Formats: sequence, structure tokens, C-alpha cells
Amino acid sequence: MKKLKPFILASLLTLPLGVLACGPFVFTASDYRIYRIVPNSWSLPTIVHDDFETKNIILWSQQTGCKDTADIRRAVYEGSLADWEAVYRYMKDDGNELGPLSKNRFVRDLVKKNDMRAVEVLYGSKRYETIRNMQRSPWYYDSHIETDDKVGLMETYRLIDNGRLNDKRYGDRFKFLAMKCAWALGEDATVLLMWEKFQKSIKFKPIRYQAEDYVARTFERMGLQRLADSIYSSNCNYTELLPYNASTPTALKILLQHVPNSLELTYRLQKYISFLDREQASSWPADPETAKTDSVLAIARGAIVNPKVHNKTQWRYAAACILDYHGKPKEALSMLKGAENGECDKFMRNSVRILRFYLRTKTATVNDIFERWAIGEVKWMHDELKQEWRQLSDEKKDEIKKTDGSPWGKIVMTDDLYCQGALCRIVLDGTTGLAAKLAAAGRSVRALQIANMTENWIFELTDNDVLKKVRTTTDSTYWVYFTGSDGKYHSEYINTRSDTAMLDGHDFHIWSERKNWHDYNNPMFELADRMTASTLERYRETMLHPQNNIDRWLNSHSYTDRDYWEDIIGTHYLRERNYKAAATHLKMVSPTYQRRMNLRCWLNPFSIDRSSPSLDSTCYKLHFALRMDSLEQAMLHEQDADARGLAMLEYSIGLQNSFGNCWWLTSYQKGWNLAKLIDITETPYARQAELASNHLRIKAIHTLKTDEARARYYARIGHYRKLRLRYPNSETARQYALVCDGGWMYSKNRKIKKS
Amino acid sequence: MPQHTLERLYLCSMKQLTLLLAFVLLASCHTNKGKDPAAPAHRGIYHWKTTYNPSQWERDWMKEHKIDRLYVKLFDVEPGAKHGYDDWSMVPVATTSFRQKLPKELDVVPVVYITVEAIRALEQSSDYNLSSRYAEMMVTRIERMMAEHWGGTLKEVQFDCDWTWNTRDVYFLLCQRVKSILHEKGIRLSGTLRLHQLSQVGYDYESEDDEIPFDRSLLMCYNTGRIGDANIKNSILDFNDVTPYLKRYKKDFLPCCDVAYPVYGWGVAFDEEGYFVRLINSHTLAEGKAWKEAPVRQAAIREDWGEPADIVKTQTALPMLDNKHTTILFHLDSLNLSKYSHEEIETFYSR
Repeated sequence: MKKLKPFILASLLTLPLGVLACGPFVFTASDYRIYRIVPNSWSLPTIVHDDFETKNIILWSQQTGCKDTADIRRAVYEGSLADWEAVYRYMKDDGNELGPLSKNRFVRDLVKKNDMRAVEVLYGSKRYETIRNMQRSPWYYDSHIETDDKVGLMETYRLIDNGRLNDKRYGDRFKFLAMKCAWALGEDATVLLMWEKFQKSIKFKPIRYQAEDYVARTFERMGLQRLADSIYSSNCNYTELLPYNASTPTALKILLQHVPNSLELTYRLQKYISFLDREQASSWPADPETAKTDSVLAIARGAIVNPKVHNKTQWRYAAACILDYHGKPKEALSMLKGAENGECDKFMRNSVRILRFYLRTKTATVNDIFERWAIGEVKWMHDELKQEWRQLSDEKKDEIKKTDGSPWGKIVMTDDLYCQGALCRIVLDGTTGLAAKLAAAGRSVRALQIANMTENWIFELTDNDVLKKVRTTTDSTYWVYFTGSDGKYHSEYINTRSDTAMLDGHDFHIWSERKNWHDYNNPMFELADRMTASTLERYRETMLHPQNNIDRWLNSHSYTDRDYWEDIIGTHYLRERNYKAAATHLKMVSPTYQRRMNLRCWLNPFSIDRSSPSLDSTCYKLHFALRMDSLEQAMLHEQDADARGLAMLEYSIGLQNSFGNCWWLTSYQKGWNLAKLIDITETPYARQAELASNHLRIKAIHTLKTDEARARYYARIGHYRKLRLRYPNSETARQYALVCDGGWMYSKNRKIKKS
Repeated sequence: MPQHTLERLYLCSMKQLTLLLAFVLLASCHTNKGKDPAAPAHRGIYHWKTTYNPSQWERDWMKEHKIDRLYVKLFDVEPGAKHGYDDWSMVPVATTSFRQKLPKELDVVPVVYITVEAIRALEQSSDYNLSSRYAEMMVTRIERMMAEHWGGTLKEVQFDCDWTWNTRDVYFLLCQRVKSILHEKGIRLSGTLRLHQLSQVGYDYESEDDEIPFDRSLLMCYNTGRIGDANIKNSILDFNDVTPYLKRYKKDFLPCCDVAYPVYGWGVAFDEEGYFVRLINSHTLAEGKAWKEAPVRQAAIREDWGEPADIVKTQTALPMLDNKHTTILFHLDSLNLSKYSHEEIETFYSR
């Protein structure tokens, strides 16, 4: 048990230290969206409904003289029945307060001008809307008795006399309201008669269209569905065509039947494929909506052969998305065949080209032809991305410039830059992405080049301030947590190495205040992290000495910082125990850069004691590599057996620590959320290092010739009992007896637990 | 004999007498409770058809048996997805159409049948307020229907649902919401309780969730056997099937209980190996059409009816009836009711 204690203690202490990392957030390329048939910013309200809304607001502005269209919108479209009831009662001088709309300029204008007719129209319309919403619900039961809602509507209806119908300003609105009320009260004949009478006198076109919709609804109620649908279709009133809360397949089916070329269909298709896109990246159980893919696919297939459908490309595209979602990229690819030949604009052609690139990458066998074609597509997307950036508003550009490059920041950043997101998805996605496929086919350098360009060029293009700053100027800072002499838990902000004096003799762990969210936490780094040092070295070579124009082009748009890459290569060599090569590369990493890194190395890698800080934290990795290299030389060439044996012991401690307590020597992250980056302690490197370390320790004790050296051996590994019992007369034992009472006492008296 | 001995004897016999009287009293109480329950305060019958248009015979039958409560099913509630609505939604279907006004002289109780699938659909939503919204819509719809077709003062609304242990909490939450709306209007909520559901309430005495959310419960003493089981005697009511369920009854959780008995029947068709083929309604049976256009597999038909003997035995065994309870028969259908004699019906209603 005594032997186990140091290990248990060490294991426990490793836990808090384990979170000392480059960032706990894992971002995957599949979080980007690729399926699109309309731009990201496109939404139906801006195309169809806003049309009437905007025109109506302008008309209100003209009729009332109020210039504040935003307030008109708020009052007319967002004001509730209760809000307008308050205004109505206030105007009627019922002693009521003006209510929630009292600060609205449009309403204040109406009150100021005592425009009772306008308030009557709006209050009546709100009354109607409320009842209509009730009636549209399947829960509505149409009774013939006079319920409160019907009484209210009758009041509104009766209010509309000839004077109001012929009102110069609001006559159109009163006519429309009268038709709506008659319809809601079930007076079908009246609606049709009114339409006969009013249709020529309603001057404002949008109101005439809306009124015509009510004629259609009346036809519908009378069982004259075909007459009704023809009006709905020509007036683009889809909400009336569809059942309340219609599911996607139901809605698509009905719309395809009545308005096969409507924007509403495009809108709903986009909504659906975006939903599938999100679902692919989600680890949550599939939403019931996605279970309807078969129905939607069948509808899409129907649309492709439907002669009434003009925009067949969008249907082919949607069908391809569903097939891809089903895990059938080959079928999806053949679905896309000839898609751009149909009736479609440049935008849609681009979408098809990008989706084809995505699907082809998933299915293709990697060879030279494919690689050349893929690079061509990457270049084309690169140009498209430039255009997208140019088209953004200055405000948006400024917002993107200030994002911090963190995983969530990246999503926001590329929300308006579709090509960036799509390129990330195509190149960096899991095992099916272009980079992963190239790497699997032995084209690792090309994979890294493309991945680097995809991941990092966006920061250059957008001139991202935040990342630029952390990459060039900001030193990382750290919080240290430790148990003080008073036995209480403390946290201190530390900036300089000298601050660590306060840690001596205490258990502690350090939490870095992360400055650079991006460089060690992205799919490109993840790819690099899984490659061998020699591959990375070859990649570095192409950065320094590009072989051709493609290399030059890719390098010019990648992050090729010397410190960054030399540190990664050096670290990989440490991982592979090639200390000479590691030292060669780590020598090229500037101390300034090391200060900016999120990881800061504190523990002495040649100590068996976790509370012993390192003597040097600036060139920590380099010094470790040099020391290990010199120990290797000593193990091989030292003539003196004792010196050779002690070098073996030292080397074995360093080796074990470099994958254990001092894991930052061989990797960049440990702790939670290691779904993507390598947890070095779980790799064959760590297992082999442990075996080698154990083997060397045994070999070392057998190599040592003198008692003094063996005494030093036991002292070094903390086996003080053996030191006292076996070598009591050694100089080392005497030294320990003098300077380390605790340790000596421990070997005598087991009740004292720690040296 | 010494005086004190006599006194002792007297005291002793007085003690024995008191004990004897107490025992007799207790025993008589027990007997009354078990074998001779109080007569019902109300006589009710269900109307469970999609068109309300009772025949003259049915109207006379109600008068003859002094029916004072009519339980009318207004509509079913099904998952919206079945009808093209959202997956988590519920919609009313099979709304009863009224060819006649509901009798004003009767106390009419509207009944809503909620399918367990609808409750599962509701469960899919993460919107906690959805139950409240549905509760409001249900109550409004019920009120509108009753105002349109009856016009009397609504005193009670009844919910019927074959809820299970898994759907219980969602259903109960919906009922709680409905109950609180109804209470504001002075209306009580009653709910049906199937025999198998008796074992699924009353576990956690401290938890409000476990409380039955009804002002009165209605114990449905029918459909006691598995329809598809060829080995059972009667799928509609078999006293032997009822008794195990009654053991699970916890009185604290069912303080107010009405009871319903079956006065209907059906045919259950099986194939040669005793596998269930189909259910045949009593009208088809009566018209002798059970074998016409029958599936090829159909080899035998078992006719199940609510047998008077089983109904009476069940009535005797029920321990939970108070003197305000309503005895209800299922359901108002001249063909089924004509199978029972006047005396049999009166016997059902006398307990």
C-alpha cells in the first residue's frame, strides 16, 4: 500500500491538471451548412407577405400623414386587440388610459388629430383577426348562438354605414372590413354581393387582392373549391390553401398542386433541407419531422417530372439533399445530373456545383485527376467567397472582423459567407471530407495544405482583428489555484515566472486564461495532430520551398507562421521520442511565441514530485529535448557504468513524465471534450513510452556498479526506506539524513506519511 | 353467593354484552357495505354514437327507467399528425352531429374521449403551457357545443381515456388544467377509470401528481377481458376477471365514485386455431350478417354480452359506492337495450 500511495496521489493530482488545455470546445466541420436553394438572408416574409405589409404601411402613412413607418408597423401589425381596444375607448372618451400604444407615434398622431375613423378600422380589424384565428383552429366549433365573439363582430359590422363605406380616406378599408366581417359571420351571399358592388370602387390594389381572397374563401365554403383555388393561387395566399399547422409533406403537396412555381414552395423546401442539414450534425435523436423524408422525396420526384413545374432544379437539388441525408451520396449525385441545364439562375447553378463537389468528394476514389479537379473547385469557391465578402455591408464586415475566432464565433462569422462554410464542410468534414480522403490516400501534405487554406484564409480575407492580435501581441495569462499554508484554497493571477515562488511546497494547478481560441482548436489542427512528425516536416518543407504553382497558391492563403509549425513539428518529434530532431525544430520557436501560447509548462519533467516547478518555462520543450538527447547519448556512449545507469534512470523519468504529468510536452490538449484531438495518454506512443520507461529503470539498477550510485538511484525515485536499509553508510543516505528529516523519519516510522 | 361475586358477574356480563353489541354492530355495518350498497342517487346512460338522434323507443325507455342523467360523447381527441397537423398537436375528430336537441329535462354530461395516442403526441412537446392551451380550447369547444345543442346549465364534464402508466402524468396534467378552468365556472370534472387503471393510482400518498385529478371518478366495469383471447368466457364482463382488480383499489384515492355497467354486446370472430380475426358489432349479429362476406379465416364466433348475472355480482362486490353515486349503463341503443328485460334494467339501476 505504501508503494501505491505516491501513484494514487499522483493520479489524483493529474485530474485537476488535466484541464490545463487549449480549449474545451470541440468544433466540427459538420456544424457548417451546405444545402441551399436560396440565400441565407432570404426569407419568405421579405418576398411575399412583406409586399402587402409594406404597401399597406405606406398607405397608412399617406392617409394619416405619419412618417414613422416603423411605428406604423408596430401599431398595425404587432398591436393586440386589447391594445387597440384601449385606444378606441380612450378616443371615445370612456375615461380609459391610452394603454400600451401610448408611446407609439402613429397612435399619438391619430389621437392628436382625433382620427376616429382610422381607429375604428384598426380596432375592427383586430377584432376580426382574433375571431379568425379562433376559427382557423380545428378546435373551433361553429355555433349558431350568439357568442361573445360574434356579438363583437356584429357590432363592428353594424358600425360600417354608408358614410364609412364612402369615406374618402378610409372607404377602401371599411369596404374590406365589412367583407371580412360578413364572411366571419357566415353571410356568404352578402360577401358575394358586396364584392359585386365594391370591386370596382376599391382603388388600392393590394386591398382589392385581399378582398378577393375572401371571395375565394366564400366559394370554398360553398363547395366551389376550384373557383376558390384559382383566386388563392393568383393572389399568392398560401395560408388559406394549407390546413392549420400543416406538416411539410402536406404543405408541399398542396402547394405543388395549386401553385407549383410559387416562392412559398421554395421557401418551404429550403426550410426543410436546412432542417436535414442541421440534423446531420446533431447528436440528438432525429426529430419526427425528418422521418418524413420519404414523403418529401416522393413529392420531389413527382415535381421533377411535372410539366407544370418550371424550377425543376430546386426539386432535383432538394431530392439530392434527401438522398444524401439517407446516406446515398451516389444516388444523390446522379439526381443532380443535368440540374443546371434546367431553368435556373447563376445562384442556383452555383449551389448545384457546390453540392456536386461535396457529393463527389464523398464518393470519389482519390487519384491525380480527382485531386486536380478538386483543387480547381476549391479555387473557384475561393473566388466566390471573395465576391461574397465584397457584397457584405460595411456593418456586417465590421462585425465579422471583431469575432474572436472561437468555434461559435466562426459559425457566426460564416453565416453570411456561404462559400466559407460550404468549403469547410467539403474539405474538413470527418472522414468523408476532402482533406481526410487525401490523407487516407497517402496525400497527406496536400491534405494539410488544403485544410490549412480552408481553415485559415477566412481570417486573412476578413482581416480579423481579434485573431491577429492574439497571434502577434497578446501574452497569455494564467490563474493558479493552490492550497496555501493556511490550508485554504487560493486562486491568484500570475503573469511572470517569479510569481511561482508562492507555489513552492504547495499542491497547485493552473488554468490558462485563453487568448487564442482558434489555432489549437480547429479541424485543420486536428488533422495535423494525427499526422507523423515527418509528414509535418514535409509540409513545412513545401511552405519553405514550394514545388509548383498550386503549392505557392495554397501557401499564400494558409497560416504558415514559423513558430506555430515548428512548435507542432517539435512536439510531434517529442511524441515520437526523436529528441535530436525535436530540438532542431524547437530551437526555431521564439520565446515570445511561447509566452503567447495557451499552454504553459510548469512542472519539472525530471521530477517524480508533481509539486516541483520547472526551472525554465520559456524554452521548456527545447530544454527537455536537449536534455533527453544528451541522456540518450550518455546511455549509449558513457564509459562509466554508474553514469550510464543514472542517465537511464533520468531518461526513464523524463520519458514517463512527457506522456503523463507533463503531457504538454507531447500534446496540446487534455481533459474534457477530447472527442477530436488526441488524448496522448491513450495513444500507442504513451503505452510504448511507459514500457520503455519501466524497462530502462530495471536496466538501470542492473547497470549500476557501486553502492553509492544505487543509493542515488533509490533516493532519486523516492524509495527512502530501501536507501536507509540497504545503503545506510552511503554519502547519499547521510545527506538525506541531514537535510531531509521527514524522509528519513518516514523510513523509520510509517505513521509519518510524507517526506 | 357473596355480593362482590355477583357484582363481578354482573360487570363481567355487561362487558361481554357491550363487546357482543359492538361486534354485531360492526358485522352489520360490514354486511351492509359489502352486500347491500345504497341505491344510486342518479340513473344515467351513455350516448356513444356520432349522430345524436334517439328513436322514440329510446326516448320512452329513458322515461320508463327514470333516467335523469345523459352522458353524451361530443368528440374524440386524436393526434394532429394523423390529420396533417404538427406531431405534438391534438385535434378533435368524430364530432357528434345533433339531429335533435338534447333533452332539457335531463342533466346532460358532455363526454370527451381522448385517445392515448393523442396524449403521447402531447408528450412530445416541450412546451409546458401546451396543456393549458388545449384545456382552454377543449372547454370552449364543449361549452359552445352544449350551448348550441342543449342550453341547460352545465354542471359536469367527463373525460374518458385509456391512459397507461407511461401516459398518466401528461393526461393528469391536462385534466388538472381543465379542472381548474371548469371550477372557475362552477363545473366539476369527472373522469373514467378502467379497472386496470385502479392499480396505477395511489402509490405516492405525498405526491400531488399521484392524485386523481377528477372531482368524481367513474369506474368502468366493462371490457374486462382481452378481446383477442379465445380462452376467456366473456370479453365484455366476467365477474371472475373483475375481482383481482378490485383488490388493488385504494379507497383514499377514490372518495367519490360512480359506476358504469355494460348493456351491449359484440361478436368476436376467431380462426380455426383460435386466433382473433375481427370484431362484429351487435347490429351485424342481429341482422344475421356475421357470416356474410366474412373473411375466409373466420371459423367461429363468440357472442359476448354484458350478462345480468355478472353485472349483479360485480355490483355486490364493489366497495366504493357512496349514496350520491350515479349508476350508468353503456349505452343508449335500442337494439342492445331490448335484449334486457325491464326487471333486469331496474335491478342494475337499483344498486
